[in-house]
Amino acid sequence: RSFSQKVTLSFRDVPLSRVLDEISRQTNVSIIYREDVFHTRVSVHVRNSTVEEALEACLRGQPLTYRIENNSVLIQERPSPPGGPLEGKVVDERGSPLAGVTVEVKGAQQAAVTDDKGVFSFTSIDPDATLVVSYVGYQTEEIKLRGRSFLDIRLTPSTKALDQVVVIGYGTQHKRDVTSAISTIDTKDISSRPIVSGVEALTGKAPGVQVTVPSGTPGGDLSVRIRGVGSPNGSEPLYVVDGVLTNDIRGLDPGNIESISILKDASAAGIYGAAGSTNGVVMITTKKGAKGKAKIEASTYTGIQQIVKKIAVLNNQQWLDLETEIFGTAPTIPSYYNLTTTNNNWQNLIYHSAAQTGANVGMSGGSEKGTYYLGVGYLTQDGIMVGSNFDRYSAKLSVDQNAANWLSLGANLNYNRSNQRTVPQDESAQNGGAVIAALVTPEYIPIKMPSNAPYPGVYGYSSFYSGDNPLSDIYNNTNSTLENHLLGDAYVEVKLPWALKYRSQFNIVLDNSNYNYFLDPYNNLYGITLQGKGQNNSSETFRWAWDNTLTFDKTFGAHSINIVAGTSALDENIFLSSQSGTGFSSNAVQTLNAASAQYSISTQKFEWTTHSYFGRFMYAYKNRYLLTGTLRADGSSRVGSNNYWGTFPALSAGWKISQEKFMQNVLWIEDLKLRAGWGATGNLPPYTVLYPSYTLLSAGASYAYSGSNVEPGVSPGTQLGNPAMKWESAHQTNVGFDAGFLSHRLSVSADYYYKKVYNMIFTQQLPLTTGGLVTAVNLPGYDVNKGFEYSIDATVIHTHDISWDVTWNMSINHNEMEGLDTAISYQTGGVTVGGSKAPIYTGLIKNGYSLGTFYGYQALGVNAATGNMTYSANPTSLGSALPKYTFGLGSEWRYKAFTLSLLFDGVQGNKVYDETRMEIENLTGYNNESAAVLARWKNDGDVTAIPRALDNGTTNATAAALLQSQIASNYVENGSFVRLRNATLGYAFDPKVLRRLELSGLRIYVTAQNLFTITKYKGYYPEINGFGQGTNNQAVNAGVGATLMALGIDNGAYPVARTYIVGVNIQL
Amino acid sequence: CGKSFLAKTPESNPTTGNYYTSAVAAENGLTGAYHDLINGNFYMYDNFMNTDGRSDNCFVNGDNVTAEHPLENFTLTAANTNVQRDWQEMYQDITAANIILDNVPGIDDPVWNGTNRKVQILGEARFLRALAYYWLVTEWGACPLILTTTNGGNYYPPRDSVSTVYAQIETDLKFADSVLPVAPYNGEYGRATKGAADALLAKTYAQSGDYTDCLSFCNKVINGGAYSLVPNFANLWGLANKNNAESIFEVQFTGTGTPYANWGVELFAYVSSDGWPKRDIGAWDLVRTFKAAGDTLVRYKTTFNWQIANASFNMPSGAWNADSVIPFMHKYPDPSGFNSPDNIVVLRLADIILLAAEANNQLNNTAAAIGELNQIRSRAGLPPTTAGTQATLGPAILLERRLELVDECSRWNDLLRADANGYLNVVDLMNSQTDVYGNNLNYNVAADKHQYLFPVPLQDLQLNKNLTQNPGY
Repeated sequence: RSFSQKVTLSFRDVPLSRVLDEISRQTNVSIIYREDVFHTRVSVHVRNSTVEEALEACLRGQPLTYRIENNSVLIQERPSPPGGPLEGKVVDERGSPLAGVTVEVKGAQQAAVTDDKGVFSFTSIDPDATLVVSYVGYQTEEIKLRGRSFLDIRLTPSTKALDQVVVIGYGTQHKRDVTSAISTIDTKDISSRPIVSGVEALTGKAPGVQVTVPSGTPGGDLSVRIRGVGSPNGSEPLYVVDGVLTNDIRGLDPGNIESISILKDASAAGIYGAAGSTNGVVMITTKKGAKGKAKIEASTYTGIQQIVKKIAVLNNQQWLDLETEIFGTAPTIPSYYNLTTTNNNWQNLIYHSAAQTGANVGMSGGSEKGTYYLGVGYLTQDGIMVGSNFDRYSAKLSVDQNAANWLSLGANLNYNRSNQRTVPQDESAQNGGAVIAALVTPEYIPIKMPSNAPYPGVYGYSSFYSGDNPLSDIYNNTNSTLENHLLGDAYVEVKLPWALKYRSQFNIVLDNSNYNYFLDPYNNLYGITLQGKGQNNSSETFRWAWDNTLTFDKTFGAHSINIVAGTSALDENIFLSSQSGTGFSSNAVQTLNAASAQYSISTQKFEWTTHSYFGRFMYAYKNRYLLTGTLRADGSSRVGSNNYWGTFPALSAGWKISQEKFMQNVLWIEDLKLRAGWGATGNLPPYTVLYPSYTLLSAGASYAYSGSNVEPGVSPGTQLGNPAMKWESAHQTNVGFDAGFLSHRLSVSADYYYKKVYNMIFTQQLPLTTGGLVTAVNLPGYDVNKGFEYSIDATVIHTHDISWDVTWNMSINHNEMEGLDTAISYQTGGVTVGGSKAPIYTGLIKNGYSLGTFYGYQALGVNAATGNMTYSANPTSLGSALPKYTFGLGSEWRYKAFTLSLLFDGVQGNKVYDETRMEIENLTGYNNESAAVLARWKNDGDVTAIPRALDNGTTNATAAALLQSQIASNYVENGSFVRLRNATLGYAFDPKVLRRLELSGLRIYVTAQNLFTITKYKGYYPEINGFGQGTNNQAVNAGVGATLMALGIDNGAYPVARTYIVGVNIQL
Repeated sequence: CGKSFLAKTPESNPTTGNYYTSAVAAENGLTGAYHDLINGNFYMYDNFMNTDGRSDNCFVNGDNVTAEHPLENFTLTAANTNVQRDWQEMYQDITAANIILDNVPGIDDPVWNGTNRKVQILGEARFLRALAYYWLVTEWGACPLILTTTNGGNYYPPRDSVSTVYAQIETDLKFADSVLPVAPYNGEYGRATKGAADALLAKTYAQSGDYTDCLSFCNKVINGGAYSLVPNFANLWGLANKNNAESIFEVQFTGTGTPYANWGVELFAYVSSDGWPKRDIGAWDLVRTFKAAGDTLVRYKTTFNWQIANASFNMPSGAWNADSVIPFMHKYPDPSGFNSPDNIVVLRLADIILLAAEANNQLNNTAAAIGELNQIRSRAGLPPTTAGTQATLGPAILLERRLELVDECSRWNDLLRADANGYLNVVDLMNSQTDVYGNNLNYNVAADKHQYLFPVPLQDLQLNKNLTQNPGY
């Protein structure tokens, strides 16, 4: 029988008893239940339903049923289906427990939710049931029980799922709605790789993003290029960490990174306008707490780093043979050297296996009211070159508070302190570079000079040339840099009526650096001459920025609108101080209070500001047609005072074809979206020009009248003001598509871009009739990058026990300078060779050439009759350091609890200028040389690539000079490589074991970085850029101090290491 | 926040826009312009090689084979880095002066009330500008005349004619003459004075061939009473004799570290303990000339320091037998390891007296010329001249200038005037130079005389398409 009364209910998250009482009240039907059964909270919405319908609605999913007896309703436990209990645990792809996962029994009204440890249970379940396991952000799994009473379920993130949220400027967006070129980076392996700098996580992961490790110096800077070289002034992207704009992320411990997305085209980056986004924007979100039980995650690793290869050099006898050939007679070796008994292998003496250890602990938790995250980290990295190391201590605190329904506020602080000791590199041996010194110091040179030598006890030197041995370069002096970095923000967010949200965020970046140098007064001749030297450089950079935004987000029927409008103000103050002195009475006290002579002091202050207005309009119609428009107006003190402001618009559109009716029957395409956009972004070169409007005078120009009356003076400086200097601006067109096939097992994304940089800012040398002034100008001409990039993500196999995922990305980029004054070229990439202090320029910026072009003579081979290298009559382009292709390949296999992941990356079509070979294959002088010169020409008719030993200055001065000091193609090498960047084998412990250990997750792994590299490059490592930061690039026609792009130069850079690591991740 | 938030001014550099607001700033700017005289290579170093080294007086003998030897061998090219830096330094000096001339007139400081210091500052700046143009126009000929800091925004000026440049030097110096004091302001030697302006004016007129005006300004200097010949030639030189009675304008040094040390001296003077190949070694022809003139007393001894060379030599082959004693320059005698306190003498009375003699002779005032010539000979301990006609006096005065002014950056311009006045041909003179053994030094000065001028630096030709090169380069 049934009831005729109608029931209307609307409850949200209330105790079941309350709902039943209401049914009873509306119908006068008595409902009998046992109080203790009804802790369950339910939500129910029914209108004019029958009593039965209402009861079913509120008991749905509950282990309860009802029975009607005599106008009464009896609520009772549902009879158990036949079968036993089931317990299970759900973990993510890394083995971390997932809380809140819904586990439903297919076809039955049975369900469970996992707890904080990822555990769920059913008291009784059909042994043949199929479980449906679902969780937001992960692929839904169906699992046949097959009689098991325990299940270990691993969910795979739905990276291809279109509900993935990406972080964009001043907001987030569903990936499915993105109309611009944005790459998201998989950051899950940061915790299982020895990553020192966060940007390493970008390597090989996204198309059009090239990360280079310019040297193996522990704690050294990395270089990131997004879609080629955006400006000859610099190519590093803008970093935005939790909304804080910064030029680098040295202040960030990579262990605290939650997600990274890269805004590549103008439409995406345009919201950051002129803050440096010509080169793309790397958006980083750091870890935050989540509501729920407190979680603790700890990870630690340790391992060793080794040099990848060594370069064969001559032994003492081979050296003597070479010298005899060079000079016609054997050199007279002073008696305090011994060619028979002293055989120092300098590379073995300076390179060693070096330890690297890291540890991170993160604690997080929170409630409805607020969340917190606290992370601490430690890293110590010994360098593979003795005497170099890097230590870092870091702390991160993040607090978010929901003060009221309408008000939330919070703060993030990232702090770290690092200590880096470097060894001299990127220099010839005569100028103190240890890497080259290890190659050119003959093996008979002693480590310390013997008692019968002049200056006994000092580090070994050659009596023939002015180079010291590499241990001397390393231990004669100390180069240590102590840095403190603080990066943080505080915000308040207010929900307003009419779907409006106001957010105000205050950001700070505080970098503090203290460099100390001490040259020992006893250990080498230079130190003895000066009686030691001490130097201290300290700097503080403090940046604050205040962002205020108003967001409107609402859907009206088929129309979705999201509007952001805001302002931003930024102020950076730089303080530099340096002091030095000589004349130390001993090496016991190394601080400058012990110096007695040649004092030099200087302090300097700089300040720059920007002020911006920006807005973005995102519109979607029928979730099918998408439009994004951005407009940003930027003003900066770093632009000419007549042109403080620049305006940068961008527009992009997307069409989700797969949403169209005509696509509904094409079942194999889940998703297909076309994207197109155009936009402008602004750029300012890094700090080379801070006050372009001003004609600077130089203080400190004193004069001693009468040879004694010293009076202060001010004389012309070197900069002529140019108030008309405008913003450098990049116009970029982007066309692409995103597609998902076969239940998103396969997704493809591809983009074509054309980026043209206008008004390139150069510090231009004016005619000498100005007295040699430089001025900042907008160069007539364009830096053009065009390219094609694509990525493919595939889930090849996906079963409960086995999965295989593959990701592949590739980009093709072509760079060319267009429209430059054809009569003017700019030399870049100055290298010092041998004892010379004057740089020889390897590169040329010239109309029609790619940036990074090497320019010099073509080596046409060794003349078999004379043994001299033949060179082309005129210098010419020798190829570019910019790769034609870059690619990355990631593959991950999982078998049960084991995971093996490999990451390959590579570049093709780039050149490296191997200056090191100019030092070790110069076939003259008294330095040691590469074993390659054993193949040198010796007799008429010898056919070889190596010319004869050359007596510099007499027999063939021209050939010798060319070989030693001209940029030539015989030192330009193919820099292409493919390497296994990372290989990791991990094992996640079984939940049963974990329960015994009272852990919720435990994973151990072994990993290898740079396990192998396939390359033709003859030096230590092809991925090199001695001038990553553009130093030593003073260029003819460019101003003094102008730093222009110089790439791919091996001037004796610190070799990149191979690393083996074991590590463990623990979750409580 | 508006425009003021963006208008950031440099904190570690003064700017032309904000600095010149007071009398103190004006004085500091002027001091900075003097500082430019010691903050480069020209006065301490290059000018000696450009003039005495290039001429028949000295062998350049530098160890910078690429940049310095072409001065000696007349193989200069537009790419020569010495020529380039000298051109640039002269224009730096001009820019320093122009900044003062542009900005100081607008300063109104009560400190100046009742004084003419403000206009004196302008006068001193004009002198410094004229001095730079004097070297530019005599070494390179026509050159761009830049008279304001920004040259009206035209940074790519063409060359102005030689006569235009001379006219500007005259204008500047006449202004300086009209406003500068006879004694240096504040008693500070090293500042331009009326006498310095007049002396440079005399030299400028002489070089431009205007002997009438040259003479009148020589006489102004000679008769002004501010300067007198130092009785003993030996007492003109060295630390003890800086800013002596005969001195008209000297570049000042204290010898105590940068920027007050005259490091140039170390590159010229003999030092027993260092290994520098010294510049401006006396030429065989110069030594022979001293001896032929019977001038082997005080001037000879003061000019040369005969020593056995202790360093490698880059002299023309066989110029001297480097194993025996050779004549190092000795007018700047205190090398002090790159920390010399020696001033550089730019203008002194003996130069002006001999110039007056030259002018008088050219203007047919033979008697006056003889008197002035003998004044200098007498101080050097030499008998009165035997020359008595304009034709014989011309070479006699040239010879006297040579012996009196060795290593004072005068010889090359003296030769060019003598060439212009028909006393000699510099091409023939230089091509006939021999070494100690009588072998020709093969200087190969071209008959077209193009080597009389320096080439315009290549870098500036590339940077400024409106510049033209001197013929022959």
